[in-house]
Amino acid sequence: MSIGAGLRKFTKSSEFYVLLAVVLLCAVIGMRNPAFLTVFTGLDLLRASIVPGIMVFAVMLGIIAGGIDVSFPAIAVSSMFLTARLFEYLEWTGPVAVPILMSVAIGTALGTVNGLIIAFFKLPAFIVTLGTSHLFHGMLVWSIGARPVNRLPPTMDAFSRAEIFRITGETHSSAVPVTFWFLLGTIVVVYFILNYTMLGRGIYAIGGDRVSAERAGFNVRGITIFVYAFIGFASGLAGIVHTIQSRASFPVELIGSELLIIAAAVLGGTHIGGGKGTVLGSILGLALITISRNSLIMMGIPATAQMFVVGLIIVAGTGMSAYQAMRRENKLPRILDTAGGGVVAGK
Amino acid sequence: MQGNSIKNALSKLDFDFRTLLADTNLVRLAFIMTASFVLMAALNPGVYLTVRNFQSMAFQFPEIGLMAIAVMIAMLMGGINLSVLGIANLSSIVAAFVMIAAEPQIGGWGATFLGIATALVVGLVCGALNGALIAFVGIPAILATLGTMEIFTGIAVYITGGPAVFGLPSEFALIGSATVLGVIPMPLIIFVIIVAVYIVVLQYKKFGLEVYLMGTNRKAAQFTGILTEFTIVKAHMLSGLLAAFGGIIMSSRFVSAKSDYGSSYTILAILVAVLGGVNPFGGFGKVMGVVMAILTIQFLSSGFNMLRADAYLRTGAWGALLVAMLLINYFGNKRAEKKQIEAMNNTKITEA
Repeated sequence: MSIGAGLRKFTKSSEFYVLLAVVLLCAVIGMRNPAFLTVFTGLDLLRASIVPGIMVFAVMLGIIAGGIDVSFPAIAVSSMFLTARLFEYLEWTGPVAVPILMSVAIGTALGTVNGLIIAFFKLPAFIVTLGTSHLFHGMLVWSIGARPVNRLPPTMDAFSRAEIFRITGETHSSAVPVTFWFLLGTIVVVYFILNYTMLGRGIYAIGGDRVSAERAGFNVRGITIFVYAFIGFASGLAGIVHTIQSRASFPVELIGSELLIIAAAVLGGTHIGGGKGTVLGSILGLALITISRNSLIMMGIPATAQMFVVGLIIVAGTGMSAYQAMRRENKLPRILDTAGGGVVAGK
Repeated sequence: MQGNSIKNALSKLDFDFRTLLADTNLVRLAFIMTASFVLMAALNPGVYLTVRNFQSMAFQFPEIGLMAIAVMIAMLMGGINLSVLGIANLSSIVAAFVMIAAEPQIGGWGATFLGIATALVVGLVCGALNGALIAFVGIPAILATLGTMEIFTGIAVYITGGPAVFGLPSEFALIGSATVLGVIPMPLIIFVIIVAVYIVVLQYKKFGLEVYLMGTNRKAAQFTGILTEFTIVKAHMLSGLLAAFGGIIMSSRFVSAKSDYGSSYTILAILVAVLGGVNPFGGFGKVMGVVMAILTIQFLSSGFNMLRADAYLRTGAWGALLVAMLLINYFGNKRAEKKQIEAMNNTKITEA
């Protein structure tokens, strides 16, 4: 494909609209407040996007496979809090990798439980994870108590201050923390799985049409379990990164962020019914949500109006691509009509 | 003749099948509800079985019960409504401003009626917006209502600036605090009346049938001549109306209105709806099931209160209950299906 044709194709994709929205939002904020268009704001936003970012790409994987997981914040907070309490109790001074692996292992285990229930009983992921999120979070915090961890083990504390690089200006100084590698790693892994493995093909296939995927020989059960285990894995990682970043661990954090994270993935063009979604789209969706959450105040929008504006952005963003999809569907020749809308709606 | 008798047999069978499924779900729920009541009564014998406890329970559950039915209506069509709490708070806040402004002119009772009407209109408008976004713009219900939840709550935050709105007429406060005949709490009476109306609308009227049919098979519904877009808008308006009723009771109980009252209600309302046997893929679910589910939750909740149970334990219990219910329904439905297939085979033999 030539560059021109590729570009033309890109302008018709949903990613293009999100990119347009991100650029537009940045331009508007930048015009109202030139301080926004500095490298410092960029770095701060990058930092703010690490924890939600890790979760966005995992959740995207679930949505592509046809299931909406809402338990990831609960898994994240459960694994990070349990880990923080455990290593506080142990008065840990060893390498920071151990608590990180511990949190990731807890997350993966909880995610696998989700996967097993969803795969074996063919139950809707949204409802199952709604139940397990309460179950995991409630029972874990109840069993170990809600007392927060205010001081992390010294190695974790030191890790929280580690930076990849720092830019210092006259008035500002911003840095990219080492934890940014975790976000980058998640993106690379998800991108690789989706684009270069049979597993990735299977994830798209079961999200597009579960029965066809089964007939085509995909191990639907195994793929489903993998997807939710991976969401658990990423949630455990996001949780411990959150604890490291905030240098404390509270049992109530992150809860309530689930819908906004899902919105980020869907704004990026991930089809809520499954079968469609790209890493690039989700990066843009994440950018849109992160910027609108963190920077509206720089635009002079009062704090009390921010929720309203974020809601408008979600509705406008999803509305634009939904409306496009609906029109495209109506324009298609009606040869497949007797077979039902499923054929058309999937693409 | 032959064709007719087969058709009759099939239609009879279909009827039996549906009532069987629905009934076993309801029977199961009734059993779980009774079990949780007996369990909690046995754990707190002295305090649980008192008029006072029953009264306090009847004051508490109606608002969230109404919101759960609001979620149920959206679920019947295969969608969801995440904005019920946003609608409830926004409508009660707008109503609060109207009542405060109107009370000096038209008195407490006049202001109360005007306030109720205002809240209901706001609920209808919010519901219509949800429905329009889903039906005419084509946004999936989960995203449309997620967005409008932020919008409604956002408007509520903006117009109040954050803090609660006080100074509601004392007549309005009676909705959430008065008792009829000295014992029956007002919210319970409102709840019973609304539930009765919604049972009729959803289960005995053409409109209700359209909603259920849409959730079962939207394409088929379209081909039978149902204007699916308008059905979606109307159903979401009914959902919004219920949320507004919930908001009225809630703000009357607190004698104030605030943008973040009942912050855990969204998730709890979904939980209650699913616990009540509403199929999130659409097409199945009964109002009575949701009523039993909310009673179960209330029985357990009051019991936990008396046991001074940890809030996290309670959260965990709701989750466990939901997962358990999903599994029980799964195995139960599987058994019913098997029975159904057996019955079908038997009829075929006799017909032949």
